[in-house]
Amino acid sequence: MVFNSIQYLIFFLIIFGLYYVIQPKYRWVLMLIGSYFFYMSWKPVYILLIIFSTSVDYYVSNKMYRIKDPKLKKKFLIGSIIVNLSLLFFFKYYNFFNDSISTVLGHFNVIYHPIISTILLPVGLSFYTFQSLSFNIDVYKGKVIPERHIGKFALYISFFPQLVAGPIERATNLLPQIQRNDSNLTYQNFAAGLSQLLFGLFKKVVVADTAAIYVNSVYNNYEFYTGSTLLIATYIFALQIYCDFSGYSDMAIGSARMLGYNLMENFRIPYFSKSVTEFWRRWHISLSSWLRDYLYIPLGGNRKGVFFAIKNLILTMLLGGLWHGASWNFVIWGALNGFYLAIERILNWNKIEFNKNIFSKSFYAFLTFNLISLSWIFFRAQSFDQSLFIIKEIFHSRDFFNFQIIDTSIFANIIIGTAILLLFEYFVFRKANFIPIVNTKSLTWVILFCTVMLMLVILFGISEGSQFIYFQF
Amino acid sequence: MKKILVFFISILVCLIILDRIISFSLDKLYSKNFWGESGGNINYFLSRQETTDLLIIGDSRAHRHIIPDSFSVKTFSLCHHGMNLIFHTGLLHILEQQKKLPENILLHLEHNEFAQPNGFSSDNKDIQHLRYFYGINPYVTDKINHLSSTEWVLYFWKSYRYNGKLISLIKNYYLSRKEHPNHSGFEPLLPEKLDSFRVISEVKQIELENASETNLTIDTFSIALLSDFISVCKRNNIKLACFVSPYYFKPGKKHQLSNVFLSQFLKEKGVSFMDFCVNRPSEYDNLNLWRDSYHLNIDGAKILTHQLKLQTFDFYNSKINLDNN
Repeated sequence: MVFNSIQYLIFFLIIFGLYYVIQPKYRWVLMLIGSYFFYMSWKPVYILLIIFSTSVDYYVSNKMYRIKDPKLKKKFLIGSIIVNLSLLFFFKYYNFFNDSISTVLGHFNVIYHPIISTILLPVGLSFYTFQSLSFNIDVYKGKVIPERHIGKFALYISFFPQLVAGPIERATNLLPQIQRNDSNLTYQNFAAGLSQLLFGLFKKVVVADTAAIYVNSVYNNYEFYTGSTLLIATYIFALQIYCDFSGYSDMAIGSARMLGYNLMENFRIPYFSKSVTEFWRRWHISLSSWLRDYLYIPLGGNRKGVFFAIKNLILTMLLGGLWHGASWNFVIWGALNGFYLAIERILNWNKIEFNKNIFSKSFYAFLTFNLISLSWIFFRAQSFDQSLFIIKEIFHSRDFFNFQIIDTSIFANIIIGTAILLLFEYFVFRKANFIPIVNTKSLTWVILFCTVMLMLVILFGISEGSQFIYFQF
Repeated sequence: MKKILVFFISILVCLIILDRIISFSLDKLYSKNFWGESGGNINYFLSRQETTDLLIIGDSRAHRHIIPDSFSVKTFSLCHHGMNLIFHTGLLHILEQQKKLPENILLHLEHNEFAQPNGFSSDNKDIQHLRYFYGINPYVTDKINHLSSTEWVLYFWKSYRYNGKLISLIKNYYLSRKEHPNHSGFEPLLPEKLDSFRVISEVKQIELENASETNLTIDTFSIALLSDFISVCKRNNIKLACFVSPYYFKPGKKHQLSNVFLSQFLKEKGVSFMDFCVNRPSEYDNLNLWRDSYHLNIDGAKILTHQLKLQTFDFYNSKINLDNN
């Protein structure tokens, strides 16, 4: 069940209706049942993984809280990390790890034929594993008091709006909202939530899914296209992945807000960033802040000088790349972004004053967009060879300007969708979030906004109920 | 809660009003649109005053391979790229409803619709490309409703019939205002520089994939569609012939299986069948006749059209003049 489906609409209407009539103190039961049902709509048996992970983390967190001996406490934390990461390794990295060993051994004429796992990766495994890992680390550090109520803790791990593709919530934000028994079903929350959900739906089905048609047709037959076509397809992929993932986040945050929950912001118009450092503060904020707090800073952060800071940055981004998928292309994507960040750190880029004039701001934003787009080639391509071929064609194409639109109608729809997106993002959402917008704009404005979004979805939306790119991670 | 309900209902009411206004305006545009595959070609055919003796129906391979003007009788090519049999059958039902049926039909078939790996079935989603006729033509409405149990929710919104087609509709409307079309539906593929490279790079992979296919069965869904197509022709006294275009690559198991089935099935139904794919004449080995492994260029199209005319001569009796190339 994906957010952009009629099934989700029906599911959400039922949940919302029941949520309203049920006494606030029992709402967690409804939400937990709803969340498990939502997850089981993919592959029912995988709910056992969530139940297992929840049980282990519930036990460990409560045990750590009671233990006074720091060494024993640490052992429990390490145990919990090993269990969580083992699940992730088995389902996500087993084949990748074996393939890599097999390739390395092959160079030494050693034949190694590992058993290939055909088990499907459970949807959202990387997301809820990171969420539960951060919970136990926070309990260990004494930042969070463990939840005694196993049902509410289970809901924190499996909360359906953000279960399969984030935002990766921190216990300090989501858990108190689950624990709270008072109702937050207000008009402001509903209107802001619905507006955000519909804007996310527009991003996904109008922009991302239409862009995907063009990108797939070029990237799946990349040998036949010239530099300009490959470059435009890469730019369009940058747009596709942004709209796909931020669209999902908007729908997740919007759904939660309609029910009275506030989830963290996950994207802040990242392509307007004037440096890669700024980009990573605005892109997939819940993951980048997770990596900062639970990986970069524990590694030493920038406390031991520039050299160690750069080493930690690159290592964090490498692992961030690997988090996205079990493939060397994701590792290279992470390394390339780590390299950008390192260069900016060496040049003290973050201290440069960008706000001089619109031209300098536009120049740096364009430069950043191109650097990020270059890294997206590794993210989208099926192999390292394909990535290199595309980069080579873009920079050394003999017939560079022979641009192919392929399908005029699709291309025109992409342009229209992008223009509408930029219009709203730049003039409406650049400075204010949905809640202040609902509070400051008139009721008529909000009604018209929702109506226009729905009309755009009806006229331009791809209605196949396609999966989100980040579900595979 | 009252405010939430008022807010929600207000959006619904606004959306219904806006939807009806937009769909009314687009209906007006659509009825004057005579260009393009997003409905214009069908409109153009329906608006033509002259009768059609022979209608060619099929996908891009039929569209690019058969030259209607080569036939001495009034011939029109109403082919649509990438569409399969459910679309063609839906189109025939629309022509029947609009009383625009021709005397003869040449239907282009694709073997891969009939022979499928066990457990797979032909894609029925192509019927959505006739979504303008939802609520107008019972066959199209019924087939779309069968796509999923929630399809009617989407079609409650009248503008949804123009989903994804708005830009091409506006563009083709302006084209139609500028110039009324006067063609027979054929668009040639002219030879290009990279054609041979494309064919050679594709063919090995395709043949490997074809060779690896196992557990092939005949798709009952496609048989039902073809039976339906034949029965519409029979009840309207239309002469029907079916054919399959050649590929550059060697036919695989699925093509052989489908050929055996279709030859027998169509013979029983009394329908002529010509298979240029499995029984491929040697002329098509010439690489210069191909745009890609599936599509002949204009030079190849001339050869295939001529061969088709030769084979359909008896079928159309004296209506086709062989001397006219």
